[in-house]
Amino acid sequence: MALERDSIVQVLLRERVRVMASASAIVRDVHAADDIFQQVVLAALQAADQFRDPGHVLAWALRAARHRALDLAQRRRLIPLPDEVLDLMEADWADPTGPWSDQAEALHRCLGRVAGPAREVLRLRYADGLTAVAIAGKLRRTADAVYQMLSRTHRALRQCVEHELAHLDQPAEGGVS
Amino acid sequence: VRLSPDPQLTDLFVRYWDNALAPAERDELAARLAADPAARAEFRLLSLEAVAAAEPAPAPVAPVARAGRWSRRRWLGLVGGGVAAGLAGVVVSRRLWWPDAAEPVRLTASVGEVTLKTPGGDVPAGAGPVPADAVVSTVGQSSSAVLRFPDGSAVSLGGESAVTVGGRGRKLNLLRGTATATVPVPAAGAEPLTLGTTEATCSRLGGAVLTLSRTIQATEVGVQTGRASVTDAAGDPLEIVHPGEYLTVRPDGRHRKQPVEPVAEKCDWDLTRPLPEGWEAGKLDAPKGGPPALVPVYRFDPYHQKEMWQIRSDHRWYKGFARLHRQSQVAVTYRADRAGPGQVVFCVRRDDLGSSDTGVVEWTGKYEATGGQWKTLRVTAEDMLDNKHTPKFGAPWVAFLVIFNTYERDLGLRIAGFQVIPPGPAA
Repeated sequence: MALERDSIVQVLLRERVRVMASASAIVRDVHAADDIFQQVVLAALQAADQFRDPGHVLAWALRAARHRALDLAQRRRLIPLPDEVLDLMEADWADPTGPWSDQAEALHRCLGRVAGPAREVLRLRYADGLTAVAIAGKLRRTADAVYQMLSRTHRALRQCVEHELAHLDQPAEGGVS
Repeated sequence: VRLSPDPQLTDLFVRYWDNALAPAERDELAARLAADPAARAEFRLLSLEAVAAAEPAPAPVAPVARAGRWSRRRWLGLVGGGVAAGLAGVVVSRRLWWPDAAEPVRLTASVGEVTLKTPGGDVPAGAGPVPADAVVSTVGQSSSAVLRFPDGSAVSLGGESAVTVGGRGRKLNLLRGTATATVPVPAAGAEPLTLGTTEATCSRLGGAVLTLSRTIQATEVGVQTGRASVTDAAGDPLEIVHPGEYLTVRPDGRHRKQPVEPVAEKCDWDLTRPLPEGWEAGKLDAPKGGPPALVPVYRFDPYHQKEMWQIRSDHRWYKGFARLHRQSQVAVTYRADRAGPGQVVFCVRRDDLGSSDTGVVEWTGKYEATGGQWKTLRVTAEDMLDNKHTPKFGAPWVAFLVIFNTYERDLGLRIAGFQVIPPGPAA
């Protein structure tokens, strides 16, 4: 039986970050990935009759986002990852047992702890869409220094996320009551 | 799948993002991703980090001054689940829900600043039909709005809330904030109103009065009269919520139903224990030889449109932190390396769960440089009412969110104690 349109929308909203991240990994532009996600939502509603279950919607959305992202990457003359790698990545993104929700929650908390220049560089890079060279010009640093700062920040975020995920089993209520 | 411990993958990623890899590096990245599931897991996490870093912080802070016009991304980012979630709500309402509505949903009352977000931009909202593609938002904690639906349902929006309407006028999507719905028993054969968020949908509401509250961390559903059948994002049943109960649904589907208990008259934070789930900003620091303390973090504040140093608690619409009377005393034990302006802010609701009215009780003053010593700031709730969003309803007020703010300056603030002391001899 086909899914209701509201159910399709619910699935896509729930999986928004996953679909956007999969597209941004190809097109390397979060705003473009956002636009791609919106196009995918509209396309999914137009194709609503074909969806059997939520997993089907997600798999379809990931594939649709990938195609759109590759089209845009080509127009922007970006060199994509090989198809066989994208196939593996797509399968991973579609994995229903992946730690997506936990990772997203942990990331939210960890990003709140990134402060000062590291936060500024993340913002310039991903929210404002600047290249390392452009950021270097703004901050009067070298592009290599910006790359190093980005790498350090990503590594710190990854450690923070791992730490947060390792402590998921702690009691829900703490001492602030 | 574990993450890859190889730091070089991160170096490759940051330059891959710029399309700046040399051919040999591209081949190396591709080979690693093809061969190693842990490398792919790391690459996926890096992509998630990029998306998360581009999203503005979604929750507002205590209002002081209104900022100028926002960008589309920023505005939508504030609207709960983020850019696409907000826009998808708009898209869906435009494409699916309104065209054959028999009667429009109407905005029948508003207090403070209420806006309609339409493709043409933000416009102030006046009483009348809600356009098909609009997001209705209340701006500031003391603002509110009432929507009336064709079936006779009334939905009251609290401060800092945003909704879209769909389902041909029979479904309300809460993107952020709090909405209290009074849903009549439907006429025979008629479909009653449903209320939902990204995490949960409430249906079979005929004859119910319920409150839906949404933050980035969770959706809460509480029922005052009648009952609500709650399903998760995939439509699978979660719980039936009865009067006097509330259900918390997390974004990953975890959920917990609890009785609504009377809100405590006092609170005293125990910082020797971990912060509760959903704590939004600020970290707990426990140095050797000193008491554990809350420390602000530098975060983007969408209300002020600036990054600021803040501590921000979890959101407790139902449980509350404490009931505030005019003579309740607030005691904050702090240390600061530098003197500077700051705030202690309570977002408050009525002591009546049938209402979603909210306001702000706030101390705005100056943290002193304490020279390494601890100092206690004491102020009564009565002295915290002189602000733009002071509650438009009388005490007692239920504090459901607590914020410490030092604006753009890092004062080296540490909060080692926080108490609300009720009026009486103990105060």
